[in-house]
Amino acid sequence: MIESISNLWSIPLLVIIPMLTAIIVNFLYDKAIKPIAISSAIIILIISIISPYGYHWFCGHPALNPETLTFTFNPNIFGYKLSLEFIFGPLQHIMIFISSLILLFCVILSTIGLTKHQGPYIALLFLLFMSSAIVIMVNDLYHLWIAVEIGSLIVVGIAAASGTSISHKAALKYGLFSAISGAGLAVSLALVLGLTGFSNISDAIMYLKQFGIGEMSTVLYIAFGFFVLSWMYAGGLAPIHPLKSEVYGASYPHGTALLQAQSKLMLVAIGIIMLRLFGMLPFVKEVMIFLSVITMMIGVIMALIQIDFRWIIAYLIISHSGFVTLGIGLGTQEGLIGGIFQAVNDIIYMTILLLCCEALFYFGGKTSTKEAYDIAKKSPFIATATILGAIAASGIPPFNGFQSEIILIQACLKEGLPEIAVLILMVSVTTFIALLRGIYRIFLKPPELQDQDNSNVDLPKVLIIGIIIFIILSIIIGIYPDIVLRFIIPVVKEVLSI
Amino acid sequence: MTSTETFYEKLKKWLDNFITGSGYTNITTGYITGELQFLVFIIILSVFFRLFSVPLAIILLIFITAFALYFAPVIKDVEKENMNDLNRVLYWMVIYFAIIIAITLWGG
Amino acid sequence: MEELKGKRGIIALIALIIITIGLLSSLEKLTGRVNPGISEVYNALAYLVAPNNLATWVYDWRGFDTLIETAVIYVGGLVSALVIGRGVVQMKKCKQESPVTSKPLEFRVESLTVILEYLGIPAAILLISYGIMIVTGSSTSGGGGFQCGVIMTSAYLLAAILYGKNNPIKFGKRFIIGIGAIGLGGYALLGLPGYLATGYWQYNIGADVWSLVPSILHTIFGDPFRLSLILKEGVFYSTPGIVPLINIAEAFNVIGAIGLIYFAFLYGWSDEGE
Repeated sequence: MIESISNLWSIPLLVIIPMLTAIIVNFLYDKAIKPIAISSAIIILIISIISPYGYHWFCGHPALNPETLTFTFNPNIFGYKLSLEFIFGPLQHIMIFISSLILLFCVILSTIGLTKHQGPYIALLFLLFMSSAIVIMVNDLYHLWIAVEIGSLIVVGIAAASGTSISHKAALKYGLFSAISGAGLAVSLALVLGLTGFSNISDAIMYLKQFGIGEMSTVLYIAFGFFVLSWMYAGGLAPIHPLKSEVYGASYPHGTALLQAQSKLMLVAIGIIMLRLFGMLPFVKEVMIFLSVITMMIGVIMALIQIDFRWIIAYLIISHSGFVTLGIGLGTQEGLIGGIFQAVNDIIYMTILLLCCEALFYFGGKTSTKEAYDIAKKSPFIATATILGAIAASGIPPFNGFQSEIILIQACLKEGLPEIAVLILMVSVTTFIALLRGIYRIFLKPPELQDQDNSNVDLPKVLIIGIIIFIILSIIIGIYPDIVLRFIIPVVKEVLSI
Repeated sequence: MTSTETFYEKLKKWLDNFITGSGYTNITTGYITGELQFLVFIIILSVFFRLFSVPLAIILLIFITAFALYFAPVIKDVEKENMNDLNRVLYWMVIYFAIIIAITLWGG
Repeated sequence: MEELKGKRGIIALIALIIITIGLLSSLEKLTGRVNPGISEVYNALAYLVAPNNLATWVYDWRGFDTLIETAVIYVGGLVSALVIGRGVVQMKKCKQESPVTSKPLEFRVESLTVILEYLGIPAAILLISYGIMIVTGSSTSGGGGFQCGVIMTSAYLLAAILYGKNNPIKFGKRFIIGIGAIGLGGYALLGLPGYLATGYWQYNIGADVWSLVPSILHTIFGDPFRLSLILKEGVFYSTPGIVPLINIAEAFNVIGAIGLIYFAFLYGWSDEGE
C-alpha cells in the first residue's frame, strides 16, 4: 500500500509551510496577514489532498541492514533507520485532510471576526495544525515527545489568546500539567530507549519482537504507565478532563474546533503507538478500556449539568474522546476501525456544533442556558444546523456518528463485553439530552423579556459555507461510510499484523 | 395518609438537595438526569465483575445500588470531584497513575 | 491545599509510594543493561560531519528534531508575550470582558551603587562577546546556538536590571521579534538546499556524507567551513557543512524568543509606539 519512497516531497512541506507562515504572520502582527494566511492554508489543503503515499527520512541518512551491514535508502529493505522517519499513509491522508479543512475555515473566520493584532493568534493556529500533523505522521519516539510538548504549549497559547480571566486560568492550569505529563513521556521514552536502543518506533518493536523482553517486562510496564499519563493529558481523558474541557470552553469556538481535532489526532496516534509497543503485555488493553469508559461517562454526566452551551460541547468532546480510545483499547480489528472512524466523525460533527456556537457570538455572544434568546427566530439556519449537528453527535442515521458507533457496539459485543455496548448507547442518548437542553433554551424558547433588540445580524458567508460543508460531509459519510473506511481498514490491518 | 405524606416530603427534600442558590428548572433537570445516569453507570460497572464470578457480581450489584440510593443525590459530589481545582486534578491523577502501575506491575 | 489534608493526603501518599517503587524497580532492572542500539552506528559515523560528536548528533543526525525543539522555544516566547498582552484578540461583534494585562515592573535605578554602575556595561559587553565566541566555535566544541542565545539574553537582562528602560542594549519590540523570526525561519529554510538537491529535507549538502549531490554544491556549502585536523597520522580535512549556519540561526532564535519574554515581563506590552 505504502510505496517505497524514502523522500516523499509532501511531508516536509506539510510541516515547514505552517511553520514559516506562523513566523511571518507573527512578525507582521497586524498588516497583510489575511492574504498570506489564507493562501498558505489553501496550499496546505491542496498538498494534503494530492500527496501520494510514502516515507520521508529527514536529513537524508539511510538505514543500516544489521545482517549485511550495508546502508540502504530503500524503505522496503529492512534496516535500522539512522534518520527521523515520517510516514504519510492512508490514515495520515484522511486525518490531515480534515484538519487542514478545519484550519482553512478557522483562519478565514479569525481574520473576519476578530479585532486587529491577530498575527500571534493565527500563528498559533498554524502551529497547532503543524503539531497535529507531526503527531500523526511521526514514527519516532523522541520526536513524538517534542510534538506533544509543542502541542500542549500551543494549546495554552490559543486558550490564553482571548485575554479573559477564565481563559487565562484555564491556560495556566493546563500549562502547569504539561510539565508533569511531558516529563512523564520523557521518562517513558528513556526507559524504552534504554531497553531497545532505538528511537524509531518500528525498529524498537522489531527489536522487542526479535530478542524478547524476558524479565525486563517491569521496565516496559513502567514505560507504559508514563505513556498513558501523556495520553490522558494530550487527549483530555479522565482524570485530566476538567482542565482540558476548561480549555475547550474558554477558547473561541473556531479555535476549539482545531483544538479538538488536534487532541483526537493525538489520541489516535499515541493510542496506536501504545498498542504497537505494549500491546503484547497483559492488562494493557484493560487499562486503556477502563480509562475510556470512565471518560465517556464522566464527560457526558458533566455535560448534563453545565449551564453554558460552550461548556456542554466542551464536555461532550471529552466524552466522545472516550469512544475513540475505547475502540483503540479493544485492540481488535473492528475496535480499531471503529475507534479511528469515530475520531474522524467526531471531528466533523463537533466542528458543526462549534461553528454554530461561533455564530452565537455574532448574536451578542451569549451562550448561557440561564436565559432564553430565541435565536431560531433570528436565524433559522443556525438553529437547524445546530439540531442537525446534535443529531449527528447522538449517532442517529443518516449522519456519520451512527456508522462508527454501530461498529464500536459490534466490536464490544464480539469481544463479549455487552455492558460497554450498553454504555455506548447510553452516552449517545445522553449526548442528545445534554445538547437539546442547550438548544431548547438558546434557540427555541421565546425570551421572557420582550425588549430585546431584533436587529438583523449578518453572519459571515464563510461561516455558513463552513457549516454547510461539514453537514454535507457528515451526511455523505453517514450514507457511504466506505469513503472513509477505505483509508482506515488497510492501516488497521497493518497495525494488527505486526 | 401519613405514609404518603412522608413519601412526598422525602421526595421534595430529595429534589431540594439539587438546588443551591437560585434554582433554575433546566439546571435541576440536568442534575436529576445526571444522577440517574450515574446510578445506571455504576450499576453497569458492577455487573462487570461477572467476568470474575457471577455471584460476586450479583452481590456487588445489590450492594452498590443500595448504597447509591442511600447516599443520593451523589451528583453534587461527582460535580465537586470533577472541579477544575488544580489540587483535586493532581490528586486524582496520582491515584489513577498508581492504580495503573499497581495493576500492570503486580496484576500480571 | 485543603484537599490534600486528612484521609486524602494519606491515600495520595500511598499512591506516590507505589509509583516511586515502580519507577525505582524498573530503573534498578535497567542498571548496567542499557542497550546502546543505534547510537553505536551514530558515533562510528559522527566524525564524517563535524569533529565534535555532539554537534553532529544535535544538528545533523537529529537535525530536524532540533528544529522542532527550537520551535518550542519560539512558541514559548510567543505565548509568554501573548499572556502579557501582545496580540490578544477579541470578537468584533460582541462585547467581552476587557483583556487581562500586566503592568510594567517599576525600576529604581537611582539606588544603584557606583561599582555596579561602572561595572555593568563592561560585564554586559563581555557576556556578549563570550556569546559570539561560543556560537562561532560551535562545530568544533560542544557549545552552540542555545548557549549563545541564553548568554546574550542574560547580558540584555543584566543591562535592563542595572540601567532600566534606557539601557545600553536597547532592543526595540519589532527588532526582537524580527531576530526570532530570522532565527527560526533561517533554520527552517536551511533545509531547503538539501530538499531541492536530493529530496531529503535538511540533507547536509556541505558535508555530503552519502555522496548524493554534485561536487559543485558540495564545494559551495562545504568549503567556507572547511577545517584541517593536524594529527600525528597526518593532516585531514573535513567540513561540517550547514551545521555552523544552523547554529547561528539557532542563536538568533533563542535571543529573539527569550529576549521577547524578558521584554514583555519587564516592560509589559502596549501596542502603541514603534
